[in-house]
Formats: sequence, structure tokens, C-alpha cells
Amino acid sequence: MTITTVHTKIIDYIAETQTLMVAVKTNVCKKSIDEYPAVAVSLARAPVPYDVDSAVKQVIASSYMMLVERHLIESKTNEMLEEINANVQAIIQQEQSWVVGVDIPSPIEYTLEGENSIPSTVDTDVRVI
Amino acid sequence: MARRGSKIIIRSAKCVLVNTKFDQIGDSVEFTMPTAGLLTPATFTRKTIVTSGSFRTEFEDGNDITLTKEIWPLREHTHPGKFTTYSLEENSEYYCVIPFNNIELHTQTFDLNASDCITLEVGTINFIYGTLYSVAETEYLATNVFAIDKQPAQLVANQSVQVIQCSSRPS
Repeated sequence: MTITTVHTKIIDYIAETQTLMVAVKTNVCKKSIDEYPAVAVSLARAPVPYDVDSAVKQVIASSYMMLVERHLIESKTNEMLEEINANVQAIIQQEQSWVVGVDIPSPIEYTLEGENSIPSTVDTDVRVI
Repeated sequence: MARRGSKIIIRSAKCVLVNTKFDQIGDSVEFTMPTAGLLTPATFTRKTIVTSGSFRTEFEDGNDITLTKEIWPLREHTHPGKFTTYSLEENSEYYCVIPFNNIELHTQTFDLNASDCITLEVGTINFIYGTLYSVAETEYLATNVFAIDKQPAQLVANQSVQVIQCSSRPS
């Protein structure tokens, strides 16, 4: 089973069950790629805390999997857990505000702290051709 | 005060465009560039381009910069920690071109003389500074931002024009 297949299975699972993985046990990276979907799915029991649409879920899942993939390759379990724990809520909040209702192919850069303090009340005068 | 516009996603350019306008001289916003996580100085790949007025950005380490129709950050101008951006003129405005993950933006500047023309290709964001020019056969009299998303467009300079062009490539 390829990593892409693993990604697809987990993304499908998130879409189907309306849940989001918010906990990953330290033994995830010790499992083989073939075992990984079952392990991940078994851990994915926390309800999505926000009313996010499917496009946002896709972004979150993709972000998640990029982290998992990198650390699976590098076998850095602790770093993976720290990074996921530190970023998953930020991913939910920031991606939701940036991409709701839009089907984009990959996640975008995250906002700087302070950026969201600026009120959104001015016209954007971009001419799209 | 500083006010932000709506975000516009340009799929062909793999980026998001958002503008911020500062009404008065001295209006400011404090930002924090984190040192860890997904957005850090090393992963900060957006470009900020001034379309009106000018700005000064003060960093904690003292490496301050002033922006007037410039592209920021340059590689040596990305610092961790807090920094504050001030407007130096009324109604100053900048745009951020924020790429999707794993996309690197690169920029080019074109200086056109009267009667010169170039083709603006799909997947480019073009900041055009001039007082008389046309794009896709429509005439413009001031600075404008053009996102070329569906089909190429011809830019014809009727007077001298400067173009700052952003486009993306995988990093």
C-alpha cells in the first residue's frame, strides 16, 4: 500500500465520519505503512469542534498527512506529535477563515500572528482576467 | 486604522491575494514571525508589494526597512520575532501575495516605454504602475492589480509603465 493510498483512506474516513484526528499515539510511526490506516482511524474519535465544510476538511487532512508522511519517513515520532499538537487547532481556525467554500489543491501559507487583528472592511480592487 | 480587504484565491497562480489599507500616517500593525511551527522565517514565502504610499517596518533586531513600491521580504529581510509596520503617508496600501504550501513565488520587474507592449501570461499577478495604459483593450489611468487567471492579456503602455509580476513555481 502506498502513502498516497493511506492518505486517501484517511481523508475518506474523515469525510465519511465527520471526525478529525486530534490524537495520535506514540506508536503510530512504529507501525508499518500497511497497518497505519487502521491505527490512525482507531484514534480518530474526537468530533470536529468547528462547523467546517468539506473543502476545509480536505485541507486539514492534507496538512495532517504531510506532517505524518514526513515524519514516517524520518521516523521522528516525538517531533511529529509535537508538531501536530502545536498546529492542529491553528490549522482548523486559520484554514477555515481562508478557504471556506473554495476547492483548492493544497494548503496555503499560514497567517502571521497579528494579521487577523486587522478588520476586513476595505474593498479589494483586483481585476481578474 | 489598518483595514484589510477580502481574500481572493487565484487558482492558476496558486496563491491568495489580500490587500491592507492604512488610512492615516502612523497607523500601524504589530505582527509576530514565529520561530517554530509551520510558518517561520524559512517558510515565509509570501511577497508584500506596496501599491500606494509608503511604509516603514521596524524589527526587534533593529534591521528596519522602508517600503515604497518594493517587494518584501528579500531573503535578508525576514526576521523572527515581533515587527511593526507603520504607514508613512495617508491612504497607504499594500498587497500580500500568499502562495499555497510548497509553492515559491518569484518576481520580475518590467519597465515599459510608451508604445511598448507585453503579454501578461496566465498564472501571473501583475502590479502595474502607470498613468495611461491598456490591458486587454481596456484603458487604465492609475495603478492597478491584475490577476491573469483564465487567458493571457496584452498590456500596452501609452506612457511609461512599470510592472511588478509575481508567478509561482514548486519549491
